[in-house]
Amino acid sequence: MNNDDRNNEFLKMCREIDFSAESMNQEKNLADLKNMLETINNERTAKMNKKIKRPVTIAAVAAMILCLSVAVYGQELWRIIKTITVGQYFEYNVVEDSREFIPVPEELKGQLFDKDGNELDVFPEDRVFYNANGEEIGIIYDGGKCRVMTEEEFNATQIPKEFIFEDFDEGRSYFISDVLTPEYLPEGYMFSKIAYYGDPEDKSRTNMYSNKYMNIYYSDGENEIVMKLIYMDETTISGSKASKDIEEISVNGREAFIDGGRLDILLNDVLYRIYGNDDIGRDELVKVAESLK
Amino acid sequence: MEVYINRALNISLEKPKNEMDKYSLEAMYRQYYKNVYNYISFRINNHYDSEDLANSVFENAIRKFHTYKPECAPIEAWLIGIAKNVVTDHLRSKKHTVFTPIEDILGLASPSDRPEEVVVRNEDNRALIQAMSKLKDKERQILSMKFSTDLKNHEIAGILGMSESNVGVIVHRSIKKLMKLLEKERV
Repeated sequence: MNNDDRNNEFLKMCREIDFSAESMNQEKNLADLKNMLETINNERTAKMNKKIKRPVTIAAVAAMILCLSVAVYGQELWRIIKTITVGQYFEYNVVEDSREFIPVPEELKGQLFDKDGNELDVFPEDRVFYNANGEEIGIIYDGGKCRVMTEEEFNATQIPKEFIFEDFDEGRSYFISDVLTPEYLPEGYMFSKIAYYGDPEDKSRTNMYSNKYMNIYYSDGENEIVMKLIYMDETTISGSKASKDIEEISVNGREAFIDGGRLDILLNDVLYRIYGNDDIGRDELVKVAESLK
Repeated sequence: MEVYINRALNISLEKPKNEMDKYSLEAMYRQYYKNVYNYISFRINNHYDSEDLANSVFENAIRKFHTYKPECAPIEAWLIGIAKNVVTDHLRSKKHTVFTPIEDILGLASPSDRPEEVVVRNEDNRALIQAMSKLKDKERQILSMKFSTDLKNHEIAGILGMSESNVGVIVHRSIKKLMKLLEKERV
């Protein structure tokens, strides 16, 4: 046996040692930790409720920041023509495309080229541009900064991983709030799966980003209807780009919005976004939303 | 082009935040309690304190979970990083000096020819810990992580602010040193 083998053998044996068998209070300690977690979460909720009662809420300030963030670059690539606020924590920025010649901002100078490798000073009208290697790139708006990357790089980094539950009740049990489900689905569609954002390799679920985001999928074997749920509070403030054709409608007396083949409705602090990978049609979207119970 | 500018906008605005609930707490506790407890035991050699300190690690994890970034390190590395600080604070507060009488080691070592067999035959693994107390602090820290977790060298390097190659060298060198120590004390 050489030195490396002996080292490895020694390491292996040491790793088999388990002192934790001496620890007799694991269950009691876990119960104490759960109580502690509950106390912390309750304090956090109480603090949040207190803040919401103020005339100028944190939510309103944060929403304003979001709006400005969009405008920093958005005003150059799109023109924001209207903002629609839904509840306290969600808003649409209604935009129209700008076709003017726009200078490349300082932050992106030296990174955008045309097909022939010439550095760009203004965005081309067709908005197609390349990196120094001649690969087509896009501008990614992330956390107040702009970055450029190829579509392949973008897809590799931005698509969230998912935890999948095929059992509806089990999947639903992890969501922070009650879940309404549609009593009506277009013909042939049935429940398929529930997904949360997180790393599927981490079976402990401790890498799950949040129990405030959940996607429910319905399938007819070929196409899918997705119902995306976001529990709206101070931590999940969201904004969404909308076209100028966004339509406000009433669903069972509640305001709802239809835009670009999707329907959004806020019910019991949960935003339900319903859409299909194949256009399922406005009437079907409304029927599904009306049947949420 | 505009399509994925739009997608990026939606993702950046809707990115979820970390949050711990009782389910994720229980899952984390059941999966990593043993690693955390063993790491602490290798460092301090006191059952009563090990249990209290392991509890402190999970208390800190609850309080700090919003700061955890899954993209930076696996949860095990994050917990062991907390455990390292908890142990350091504990040793500092007790002004603890690691000192093991040579008699303890002589008394517990088995009459084996080979150090690896010392570990196997010795029913009281405290001998190993006591031998570890002869190592330098950095060596003891790194070996404690190697013995109690599945962390890779680069993850240990991340916790301790060292280079991966340096961790590799220290692991190799300190294992040899520990084996020699056990062998020497056996004679």
